[in-house]
Amino acid sequence: MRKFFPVIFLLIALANYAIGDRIHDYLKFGIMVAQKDLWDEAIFQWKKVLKINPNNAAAHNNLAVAYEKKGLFEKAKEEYEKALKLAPNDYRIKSNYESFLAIYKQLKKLKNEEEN
Amino acid sequence: MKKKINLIFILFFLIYCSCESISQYKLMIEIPTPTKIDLSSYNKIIFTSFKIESEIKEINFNKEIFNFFSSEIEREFKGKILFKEIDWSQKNIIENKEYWKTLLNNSKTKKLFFTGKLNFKKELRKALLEEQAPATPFPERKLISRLFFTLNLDLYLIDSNTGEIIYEKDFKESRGYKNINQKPNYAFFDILEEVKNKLFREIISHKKREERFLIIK
Repeated sequence: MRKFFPVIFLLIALANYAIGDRIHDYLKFGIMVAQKDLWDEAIFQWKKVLKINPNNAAAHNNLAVAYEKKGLFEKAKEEYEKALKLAPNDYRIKSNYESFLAIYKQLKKLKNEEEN
Repeated sequence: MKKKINLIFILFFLIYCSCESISQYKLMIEIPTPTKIDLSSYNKIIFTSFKIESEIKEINFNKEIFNFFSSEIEREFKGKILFKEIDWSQKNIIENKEYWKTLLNNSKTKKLFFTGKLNFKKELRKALLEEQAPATPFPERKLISRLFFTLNLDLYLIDSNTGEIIYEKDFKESRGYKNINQKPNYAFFDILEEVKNKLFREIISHKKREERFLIIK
């Protein structure tokens, strides 16, 4: 039995690597299509990442940016908050979120005016 | 042997360098500015005739309002913009949800009605104002006439599916002219331009360029 340990270990390592590689590919492909202004396809790619690993902060961040671009501000906020929860010290997510908040506050102000 | 080890190290180093090390992309994106209503969620915009509370011979208000706003809105709105005459003799049609739900019952597409009441008045006002006299260095007080035009526009945007008012605003805009023979239609367009600026800030989304990080790892 002991002699199979290295093989099992190797298989697990390979599987992990393959999953990591797939995530990397989806994230990268998403960015590539986003650069070509194909945001729906980008969202599709980044959602695939979250199906494999729901705790991927990069995918949550990228989705938030895509939702911002589409004017879906509530969804964007949700995704930014998930990303920040998973990676609270990531300066890129923080920077995105701070810029987003300026727009989001404007939206809240408009909604409050409407209610009053 | 040592040479071989060095060669392997160099080879590893080159492979490592050739591997991708980019972990993020900075992207300039155009973000739509938030608005009170989302025009893009509608397939059609229908301008109805407005309730005109004071007629002026030179201006066909409904035609001018439709032409002015539809040409401005169609730059941002992808759907159709149409005009529909309505009968204002019925009571309280603005609040009557059933009226709006059944006004164009032949189609199920989501429509937005632009409707409201309009009052456009002209008035000659006289006031004592200081004016530079031609041959003296001192200003003179004179009785000066100014022609003022005032537009009261109560605008309502109504959703065809629910019959509810989703946006309403009362615009009251005035403009004075030294030329007391100023034509009302010119004044009307000057004032409509001001209304447009205020209205579009709230209902038409603009694009704002911002920088965002897209992350790989």
